[in-house]
Amino acid sequence: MVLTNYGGANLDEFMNDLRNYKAIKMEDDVAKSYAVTEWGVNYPVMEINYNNKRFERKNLHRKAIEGEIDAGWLMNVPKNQALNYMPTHEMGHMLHNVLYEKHNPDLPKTKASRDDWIDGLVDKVYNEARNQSGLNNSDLDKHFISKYAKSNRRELFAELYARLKLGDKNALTEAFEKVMRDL
Amino acid sequence: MGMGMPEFMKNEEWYTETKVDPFGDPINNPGHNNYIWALTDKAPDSVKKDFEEFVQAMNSDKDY
Repeated sequence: MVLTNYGGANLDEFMNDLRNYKAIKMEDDVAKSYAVTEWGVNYPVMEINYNNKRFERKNLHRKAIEGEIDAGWLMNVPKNQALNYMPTHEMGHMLHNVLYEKHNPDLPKTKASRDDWIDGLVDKVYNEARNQSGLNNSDLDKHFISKYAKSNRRELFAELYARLKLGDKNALTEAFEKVMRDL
Repeated sequence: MGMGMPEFMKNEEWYTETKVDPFGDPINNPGHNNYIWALTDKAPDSVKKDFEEFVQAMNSDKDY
């Protein structure tokens, strides 16, 4: 499994949790991205496609991730987790897709329906974090989320998952974990 | 983080970040945040294509 080059014990656990849902491939190029997770009516099996061109030079990949952590593009996690970051983030996408299907078997496998459901989850996470920390949304974002997490709801979910698994606890990751456990 | 940091974000004078609420509720009461990015007049032409590609990717069915 390619991911064993990048993942630690935690990643093995995530993989086992999702073993019935995933298909993982390495491609020569996935546009300009590191990886893409595909799901929906056109994808009977969820897929994570990793970009060979981004991974073939491990040290360069690690330095790129470290730089993006420093720049605030990515969540603030320890540098020794740099190589775990991208696979863990993509696992976050797998997780929201799996949870959506599990909790909404009668809803369509469309982006709009899935996004509405994820919106509701994110609402619960922020509500919980505000109640527990006393911080407002702007402060939570300022202190705890990456610029990439602001891209859309799914990226926020995946970034929170990466932060939860790779970094120490904060108000948002604790709220995220509680909401996931209460589903 | 399937997408690397886009070029247009590498200079804070090149873009703006606007917080909006998709449901029409007052910001921070309650709910969560959405953000919209836009290029400023200071953004060079060289990052405009990068910006468009990034926004298109984020609005697609794929998750990066």
